[in-house]
Amino acid sequence: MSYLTCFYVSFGLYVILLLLSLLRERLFGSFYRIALIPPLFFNGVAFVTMLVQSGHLPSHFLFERMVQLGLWVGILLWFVSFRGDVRRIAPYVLSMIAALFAVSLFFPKELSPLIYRYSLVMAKLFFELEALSFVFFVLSSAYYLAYLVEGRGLAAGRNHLQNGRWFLLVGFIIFLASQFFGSIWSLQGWGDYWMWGKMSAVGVVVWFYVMFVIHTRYVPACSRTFEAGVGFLLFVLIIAYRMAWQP
Amino acid sequence: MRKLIRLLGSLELTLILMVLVSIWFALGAVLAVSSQYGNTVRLLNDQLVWKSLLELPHHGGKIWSTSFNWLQIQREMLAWLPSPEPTVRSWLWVALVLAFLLGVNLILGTREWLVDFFRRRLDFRKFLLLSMHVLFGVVLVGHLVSAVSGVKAVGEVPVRGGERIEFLNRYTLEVEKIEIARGGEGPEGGGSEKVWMTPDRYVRQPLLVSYTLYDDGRAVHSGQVGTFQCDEFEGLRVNLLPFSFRSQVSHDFVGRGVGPQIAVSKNPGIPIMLIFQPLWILVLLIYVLTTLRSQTEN
Repeated sequence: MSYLTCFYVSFGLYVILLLLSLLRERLFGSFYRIALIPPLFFNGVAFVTMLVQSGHLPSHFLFERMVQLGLWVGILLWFVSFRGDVRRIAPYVLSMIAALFAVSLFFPKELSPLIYRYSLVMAKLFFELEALSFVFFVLSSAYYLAYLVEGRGLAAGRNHLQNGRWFLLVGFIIFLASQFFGSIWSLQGWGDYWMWGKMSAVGVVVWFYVMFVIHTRYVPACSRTFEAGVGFLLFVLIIAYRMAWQP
Repeated sequence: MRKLIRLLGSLELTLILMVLVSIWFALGAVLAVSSQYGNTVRLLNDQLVWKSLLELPHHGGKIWSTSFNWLQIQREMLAWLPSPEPTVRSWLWVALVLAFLLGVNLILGTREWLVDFFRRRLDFRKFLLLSMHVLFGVVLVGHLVSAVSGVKAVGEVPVRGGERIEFLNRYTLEVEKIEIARGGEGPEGGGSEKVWMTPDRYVRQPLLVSYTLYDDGRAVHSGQVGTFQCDEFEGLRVNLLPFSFRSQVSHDFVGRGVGPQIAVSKNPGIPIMLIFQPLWILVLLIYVLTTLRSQTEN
């Protein structure tokens, strides 16, 4: 099976799971531990097939990165399901995976060629840590969205907000590390750790926007709903970031 | 005056500045990818930032076909847009003002923690908060140092034999020889065509450029550079800038050929970035772990 077939199968399975997840409380506690395995399997096969065919980790093509992001987000949700009840948050996470895959449908579904500058250690660290940080950002946005939709004023809502913040902070640390390795990569190739261009600019956009979301909590004028709203918008920013990298 | 200081150090201003920086750099990304302004943004890399605030570099004359040229027509059609140089310089000025305000906001916003620190009234969590803000400030200072001091000089696109780059009023870098790298340079040793594809899928041959550096006309150093193979001499870094078809093939360079460009740089801000940025990340990590632990215990 080609990576595209596996991608479409996993997309379909995620959508079916998303529809099932709307049943919420009627699902048994360990439902996601089992139900996540089929879409993750096909998503994983699509990813591995892409790696084998291209001969390298995804770098800058949006489609490859979305397949990777969907897989890591799914795996993280699966792990979280072992630590607690994810019935409340799973629909939001699954809808985000579906949204990521839906966006990738509008972009070329080919594999990026092997590029020397992207195969260097610092470049790989930059790309992979960036992907990992986006996984946490997606989870964070899902919690913020859950708060916006259903959680205001309830204890569960406060939990959503708190979890969203934790995932955001962890993602931010990883994102900063990714930017640091990106700076060293830039230093090695272009002679300076900062180069004016779209890559640096979009990096600064994400950097400062995350700092903005983190600081909203401490300003009395900003309500919890506002915090959750701007936190959720980070998901949109991540997609825009990936679009900027697409050649 | 107190009101002004309170306003400048307020968290409300922090939020506004952070959003403005995000929006402003999003606009910068749009400028960087636009056909009208993209090349002018690229020129910001050819000299120190403070020089770009005053004037952007000009690289030779543009070459147009005398009879028919699509690019010329495109430019005529876009002529109503603000001209690139003032636009990019205005963008840079606003970015600088935002960074300055952010610095002022940071200092005034953390002054109470600083006072508490010197009076030894700061608990560990607040100390971490203070440290991460101070370290962020130091990173900003590192960028300021990079913007105003050091060396940045670039050659023509593409690099040519016999080319000379003069900088600091005493140094001259002269390109002696350009040859095709025969193995050993690429990740697989041989540097196959596939390996040497650029992100724009333009296949090129890896080059090695030999040069000599003159100090007041006296040869002081000879070296060789390739892509991602820089050479250093007394803090001066010589790089062969990776070739990118998309960023180079445009109005300004078409007709002159495309390829890598040689550049000389010396950035005193690099050690600041290399030391303080990881420290900042580390402090942030400790803060998150500490807070998480205290919440779990509660």
